Amino acid sequence: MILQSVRTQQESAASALTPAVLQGGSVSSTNLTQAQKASIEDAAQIDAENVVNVVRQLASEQPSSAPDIAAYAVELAPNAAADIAGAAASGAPDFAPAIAASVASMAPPFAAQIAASVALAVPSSAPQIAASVASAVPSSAPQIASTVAASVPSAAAAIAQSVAQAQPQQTEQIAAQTSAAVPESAGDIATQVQAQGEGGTATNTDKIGISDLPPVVPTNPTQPPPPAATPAPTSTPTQPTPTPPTPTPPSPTATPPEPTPTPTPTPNPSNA
Amino acid sequence: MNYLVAADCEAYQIEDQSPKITFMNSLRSGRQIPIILLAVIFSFVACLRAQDTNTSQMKRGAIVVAAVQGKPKIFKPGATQGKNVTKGMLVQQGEKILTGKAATVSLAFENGSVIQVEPDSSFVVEEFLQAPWDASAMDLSKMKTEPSNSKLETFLEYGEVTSGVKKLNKGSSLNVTTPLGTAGIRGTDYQVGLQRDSNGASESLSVTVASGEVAVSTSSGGTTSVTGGSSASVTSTPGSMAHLPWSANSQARRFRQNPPS
Repeated sequence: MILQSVRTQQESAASALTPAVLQGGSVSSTNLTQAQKASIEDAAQIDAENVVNVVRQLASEQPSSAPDIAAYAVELAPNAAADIAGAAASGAPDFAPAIAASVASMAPPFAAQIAASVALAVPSSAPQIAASVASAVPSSAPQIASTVAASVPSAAAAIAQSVAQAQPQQTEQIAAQTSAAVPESAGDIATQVQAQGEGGTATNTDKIGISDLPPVVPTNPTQPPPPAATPAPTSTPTQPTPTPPTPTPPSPTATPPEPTPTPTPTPNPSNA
Repeated sequence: MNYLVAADCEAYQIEDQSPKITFMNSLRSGRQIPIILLAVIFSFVACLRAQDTNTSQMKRGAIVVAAVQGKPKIFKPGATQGKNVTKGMLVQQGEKILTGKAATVSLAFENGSVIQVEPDSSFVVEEFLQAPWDASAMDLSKMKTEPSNSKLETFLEYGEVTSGVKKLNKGSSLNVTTPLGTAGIRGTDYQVGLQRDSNGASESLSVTVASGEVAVSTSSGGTTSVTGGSSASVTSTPGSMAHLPWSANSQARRFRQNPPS
């Protein structure tokens, strides 16, 4: 019931998807010349070190293409992602943030290392590099900030501020982890992040509530959509009586828990 | 907690923070590690290695915009200027979708899942990998399970996503991470929402499950399972932050919420 809009799209989605899959999926399109591609491919036949050297050279020859050069190289030598990113940035320092984001989006599990490698190559752009990578892999924003700050500790506060600005929902985690990585700058980090984060900060969580919903009623995709849902839910014969919510144990690290979890009695009017 | 987590690779994907912290704390404190714990650690490492092996056989999967309403925008990583989202366009890892008012985007993934980004939402597909399969020999629309193993990591900064997911194979994963917690999906129909307060701060995470099961974990380590016909909400508790290592902002936040009379 709550998902009719998505269910009705699944068939058309499949038809839209199949050509893309047959054509090779989402392999990133690059703006590289055949010569550039060939150089990288030849280097990849030898070893990762050759790829890194070729990337540095190609990036310095055509800086504006450095993000694409690095991304293509990472496709061929994924284990050298951080080194490739650093080499591309040293060859095209003006494009360091874009290079870092491009490579991090190719290898998200290594986003923090990639950001740190690029920041070490171009330390003056460390805050922008960290923020750019955090925008590509936002779930790792706190780790990215702390890792880059540990690599360029003199810019720790600016790094934390920049990443927090890019990911305002995670301000507190970013500040906490960066402070832990560079404790000598904890005061500055607090001040700068606080200054930019006045409006929006993520918060700790330690309450989970569960509630029952009415059963899901299969809907016929060929039928016209139901009228707009009204705020007032109405019971149906199939709707079960909501049972008491199951309290969840509080986090072991949490301070005194609230007396009750947060039940959400949701006799869910259709939002399909 | 550690034993359960280490014995089950799938559970580890859901609650990847607190077990590691607990283990590191025991090392730092110099306490003896029981043999059984060592065995658990080895199995834990084996789980990770097994996952790595599976992932290494995957390639980036196709993500296509299946439907668009309104005028949503898509941003390359780090870009401040976005471009319009159009039906049929390919979406790359790391790109952010901002829907705005009255706009939605439906994303079709190669594993058969569809995720609809609802109005006023910010959503990023961080990583989508899928093992190779023969699309010419199979009809994705008629499959009840995904065609091959996949890994999908997404981030909902705020707003809401609704999704229908084909049953995932063993060894596959699909996570919707938010600033307040993560929903780990195993093949289900669900809705995840991240609400903000008037200041734009994360206020509550809601997970509504129509069928199947979703594991919800919070950033502070709490976990719960939500089954079909149920919902879970995770609310932020800005007043209870004393356990965080960094407190300056916590104090300031309390001050803002409870100004002195």
